[in-house]
Amino acid sequence: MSNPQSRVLIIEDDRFLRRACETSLQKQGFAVTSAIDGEAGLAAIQRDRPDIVLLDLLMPKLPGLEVLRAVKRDAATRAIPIVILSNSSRIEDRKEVMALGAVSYLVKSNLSLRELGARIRELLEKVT
Amino acid sequence: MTIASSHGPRMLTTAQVIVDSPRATRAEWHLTTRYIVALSMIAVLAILGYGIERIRRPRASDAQLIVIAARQRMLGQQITKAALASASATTSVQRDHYLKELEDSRSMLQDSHELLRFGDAQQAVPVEDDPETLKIFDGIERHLEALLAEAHMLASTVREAPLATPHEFEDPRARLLAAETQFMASANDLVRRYADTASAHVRSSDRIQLALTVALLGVLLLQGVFVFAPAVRKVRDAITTLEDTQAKLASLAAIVESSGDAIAGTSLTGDVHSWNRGAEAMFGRTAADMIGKNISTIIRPQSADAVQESLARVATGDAVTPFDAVAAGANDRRIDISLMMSPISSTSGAVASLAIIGRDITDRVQAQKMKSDFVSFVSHQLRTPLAGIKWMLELTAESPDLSTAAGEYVADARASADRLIHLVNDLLDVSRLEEGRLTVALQTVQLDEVTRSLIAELDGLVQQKSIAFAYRTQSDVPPVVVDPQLMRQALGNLISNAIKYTPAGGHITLVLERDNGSVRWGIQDSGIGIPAASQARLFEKFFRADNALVIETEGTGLGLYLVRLIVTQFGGRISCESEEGHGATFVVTLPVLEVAA
Repeated sequence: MSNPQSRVLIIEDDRFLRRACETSLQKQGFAVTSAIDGEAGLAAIQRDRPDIVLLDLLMPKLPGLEVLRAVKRDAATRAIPIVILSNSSRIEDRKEVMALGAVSYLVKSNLSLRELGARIRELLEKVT
Repeated sequence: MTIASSHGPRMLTTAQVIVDSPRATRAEWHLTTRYIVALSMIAVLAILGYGIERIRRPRASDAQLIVIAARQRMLGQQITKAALASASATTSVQRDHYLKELEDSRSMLQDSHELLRFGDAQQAVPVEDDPETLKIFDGIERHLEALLAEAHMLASTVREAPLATPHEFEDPRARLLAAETQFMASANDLVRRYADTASAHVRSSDRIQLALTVALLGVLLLQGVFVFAPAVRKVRDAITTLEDTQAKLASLAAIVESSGDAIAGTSLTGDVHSWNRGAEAMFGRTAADMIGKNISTIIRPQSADAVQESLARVATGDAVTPFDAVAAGANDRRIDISLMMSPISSTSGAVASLAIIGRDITDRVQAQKMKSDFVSFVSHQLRTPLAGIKWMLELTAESPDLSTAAGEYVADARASADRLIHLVNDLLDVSRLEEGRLTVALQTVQLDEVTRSLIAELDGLVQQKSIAFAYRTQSDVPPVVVDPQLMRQALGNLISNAIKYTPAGGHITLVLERDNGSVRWGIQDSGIGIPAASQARLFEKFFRADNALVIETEGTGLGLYLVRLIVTQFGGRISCESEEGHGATFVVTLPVLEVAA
């Protein structure tokens, strides 16, 4: 059994997606916080050290890739698993983020919220 | 622009226009042989004429013979005259003089006679062998002896008698004159005989000359008919052919010149030797600029290797399918061109030069890129709101205070959203596969694993429709080298199609097997089948068979197109066999390649 109170940070600029994600993951037993752009997201990671991060790629202020790089550069945050939630199904994009140290690459529209929850739980179990 | 100034004649490759005919060569040999025969005949006639002249030349002695024979006759008279004169001499000196004259003449006459009788090569007098003449000689000899005897008798008598007593010699004188008359008759016979022989010789020589002349004229006539007339015909034909060829060439040249495509003739290594106006306009280089330069000078670096490789292949006579390249256009603008290279063979069959045709496809490439950029942009932009709809509907569906009706509506809305998402995914894949921009991750893949995982995933649908699903395979099917995700998508499309178009209670059989250096993956269903008219277009983009539209209104017409794009991407083939109403069989064949380590 994973810890039902795992803390998930959602970094997503689209408010409908953010809201759907928050609502569903809370219902599925996670402690959810969110950030509306890259900068705020990176700050939240550094401040809160969540158990897992869901990171969008195309965002204002700081793109997801830069957030990912910053997290992986910082020894203090490097261990936090980061799941990329993207709109692109390009293999090149997937390869790039996986090479940078993301644990998973998911295409938003191809995924249900239940599947997302299950995937997060799976990844957290792998980490601990 | 200098295009207008370059109207000068350009070289064209004519190898394909001039036709070599082995029949013409044979006819030429035939004519040559005839000509040689005619010349030989003329030479033989000339030699024959010369030889006959040579053989006839000794007959020039005919005149000599006549002269000697005449002299012999004259000497006969002289002997008679000297003998008679000696008898009438009044002084001893006079008498001795005549007697000496008689003796001299006798000696000369005998010499002449022997000369005629036995011949003398030095004086060009042949040995006489004609029997008729020899008979005359016998007569002459007899009469000559008689004449000489009488002359001698008279002379002896005169020598012993006193001077000026002619009456003493009446008898010998009369006998001498009689002998002379007989000798003269024989001598005349000989002269006549020689004269006759000479004129006979002249006549036969004339006849031979005439015959030779007639023969020569005959040969010349035959030569005219059988050598010169056909030669003239041949030359006329050749000129006509040449004129035709020239006209065709001129017309070809005009076509080449008027073409909007760039057309160049090059050496096997790509050195330009002809450059049409289309090429001048397309690349902004005049023929004068380009002739002698290599075709690669107008190719941008990113296409240099492809062009060199194709040149090398065409130069060996291989066919090369048209390929796209990037070139430097007028004002050094980047242009996309489609290049077609063909070998041009000489009459001997060896590749002599190359024809290169370039077509400006910049607009098409640009349009294609804009289209795919647009599709890609739209699709990505669609995904965010689609995910929003999908997720919100998911949340709504989980809401406890939903009426039954509302629950059904939400379920339908979710299905629609999923369909839309599916469509966007397909469009994106198609657009990238078409462009060739899809980066594939080639791996060694066991199709058995992919197939089993797909069957497991789709098992729900199979159960739902109570379809009897059978899967057969062999244990030693070799792996294939493909992108596992794309291949999974292709095979998944085929399996879900089979399930979709097979009615409840039907059956589906899937077979994976080895097939001569390739792997064969086939799926057979007992569904509605595909009308014959639709089968040819089945793998076209957006195509949907009429009967499929009736059963399943949600299809996009992208599924099978995508399958084909994916399968061909990995060097495979897809085919379909079906009879409307009796199910369909789709077969994917993939090559078994050596795995790059």
